[in-house]
Amino acid sequence: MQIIELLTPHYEAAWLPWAVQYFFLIAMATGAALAAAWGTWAPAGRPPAKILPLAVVLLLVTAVAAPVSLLADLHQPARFWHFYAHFTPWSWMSLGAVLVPIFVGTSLAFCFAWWRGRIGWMRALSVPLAIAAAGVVVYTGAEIAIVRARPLWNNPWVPVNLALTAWLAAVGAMLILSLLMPAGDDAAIRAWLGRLGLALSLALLCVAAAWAIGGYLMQTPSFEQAVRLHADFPVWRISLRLSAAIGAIVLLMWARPRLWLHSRGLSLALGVSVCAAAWAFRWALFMGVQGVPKYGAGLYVYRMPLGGDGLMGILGIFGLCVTMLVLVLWGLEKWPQREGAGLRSA
Amino acid sequence: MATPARSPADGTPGREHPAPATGTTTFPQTDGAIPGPRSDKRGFLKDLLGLAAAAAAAAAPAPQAQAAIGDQPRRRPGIPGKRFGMLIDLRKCIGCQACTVSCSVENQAPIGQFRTTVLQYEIDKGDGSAPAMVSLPRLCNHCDNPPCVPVCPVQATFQREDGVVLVDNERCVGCGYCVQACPYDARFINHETQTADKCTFCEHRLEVGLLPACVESCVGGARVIGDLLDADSEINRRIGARRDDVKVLKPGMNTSPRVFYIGLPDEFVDGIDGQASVRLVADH
Repeated sequence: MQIIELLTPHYEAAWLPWAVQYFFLIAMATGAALAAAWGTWAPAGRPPAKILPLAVVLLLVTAVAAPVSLLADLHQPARFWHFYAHFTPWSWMSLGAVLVPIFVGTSLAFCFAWWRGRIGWMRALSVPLAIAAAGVVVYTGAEIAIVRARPLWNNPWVPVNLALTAWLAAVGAMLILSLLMPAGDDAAIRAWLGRLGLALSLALLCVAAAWAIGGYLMQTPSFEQAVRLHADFPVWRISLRLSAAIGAIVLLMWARPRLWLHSRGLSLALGVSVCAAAWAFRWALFMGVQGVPKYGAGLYVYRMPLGGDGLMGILGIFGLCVTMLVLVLWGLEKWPQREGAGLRSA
Repeated sequence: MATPARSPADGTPGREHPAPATGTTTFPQTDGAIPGPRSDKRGFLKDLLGLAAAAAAAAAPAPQAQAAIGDQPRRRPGIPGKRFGMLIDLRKCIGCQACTVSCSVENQAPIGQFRTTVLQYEIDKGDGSAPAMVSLPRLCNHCDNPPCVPVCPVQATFQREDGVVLVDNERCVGCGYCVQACPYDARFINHETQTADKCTFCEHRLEVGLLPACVESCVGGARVIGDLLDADSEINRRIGARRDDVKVLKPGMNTSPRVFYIGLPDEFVDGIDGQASVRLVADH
């Protein structure tokens, strides 16, 4: 028996590309925050301490740009204050509305403390910063994972994948920053970032394998839907194979640092690839999965508008990041960070 | 499209939500066999996530924190003593879209967006017989366990004691979370108000003793709305007469829908596995 749809309405994506940008940037910010908190306690001269300037600059840029795209994803952005006037502790998104300002505020305070060279302040702030970052990781993951209506979101691996891909992107972004900042002149830093990237990539591989094996053995709804999408739709098949190929190349690069460590071009390419992969994962997770019908057949085609709800929104947020990065790097040249005990200059 | 919040009783949310018509009425239990969310592995995940969130929530002043994450908040007052539900008899639906049109006229949804509509399918049995047609009216199921309500971060979407699920579109921030949480694609972001929109069972008409626009305009009498708490109501009598053939959409989602179908083929219960139509993208 074959069922053919004759007449169905067009169901739109309720979450716009702004959501992809938000989840990409805020999660990268949590990676930068954890790296910065670690660096505060690491012995001076060791790579985790040496990457502090890179982590701080990344944290500053992403922690400021992320809430901008979050606000833009609301269809009524001017009503953001309703989150605080009608606090709803049983909704993950409402908890997020409390956690995000705490995280951004702590991040800005930490960046300021670093700039003033106050290692004492930094150490005092590192604990709340790490806790706030963990809170953001938990809320962003849980917000997606509790949506039972979408099997591809409703599984416990999604939050883990979101966290690992984002921290990998943070490593990639710090690799890019190492080419732009004096603190990155030391090849040992890039080599250490490479080892961190390898560890995160292997963890990601394990998580993907656990999801697939567990899904195959238990026939979980998310695995079943993924198999069906892979079998039925070339766009999902091509995306999966492409990401597997890129993942394999990235793993090879992490495992063979000699290939890229002394080449600015290849270091840049590796950093950009890792960031792009984390971004593309979010695109597939949000825009792709919103195109999977909850009831109907086939796929809902997402046609990206060129304006603020689509392409310009995506480019605008990246533009904001680049502008902020340029301003921060220029500012650090003009008003350098103060040398504090145990801190090295940017 | 404004769905006014009736006396916003933002009271303390309870862990329990008021019991539906079960037990005392002739209420169909088509979804009763599905295990509750806390009894399966998702319950474990929910508890795990709840544990983590509790730590986060503990830091914030939360006078209402006794409601676990994802629990249904307390319902708000509605039309007293009633629990509305709808029965759709597919044997009587001819797919004329009168309900779609009358709903659009009554509720003024923007062009291309629908609070209710009739999906149409062709079924080819492949045995040489003539293809059959299925017309499937769709609307909000006004579930007894509506997943759209607890996710709302500002309590703009809520359920009344009479079961009607509404959106206060003056409070809604347009985050779209409820649209994601609904397993039935019953919600959308209204292009004109930029807030969540959905079927209201025409509660403004029910209040003054009128039928919802879709029910009133249904030429075949396929749609019946009524009080599920009243054992003598037409909806309960008709459900009772066809008890074995009453189905709801996606019973496995554990939402306890309160829109019931008679004559729904099994292949249509959990979603369509078939060939997609060409979907026209409406610009707005």
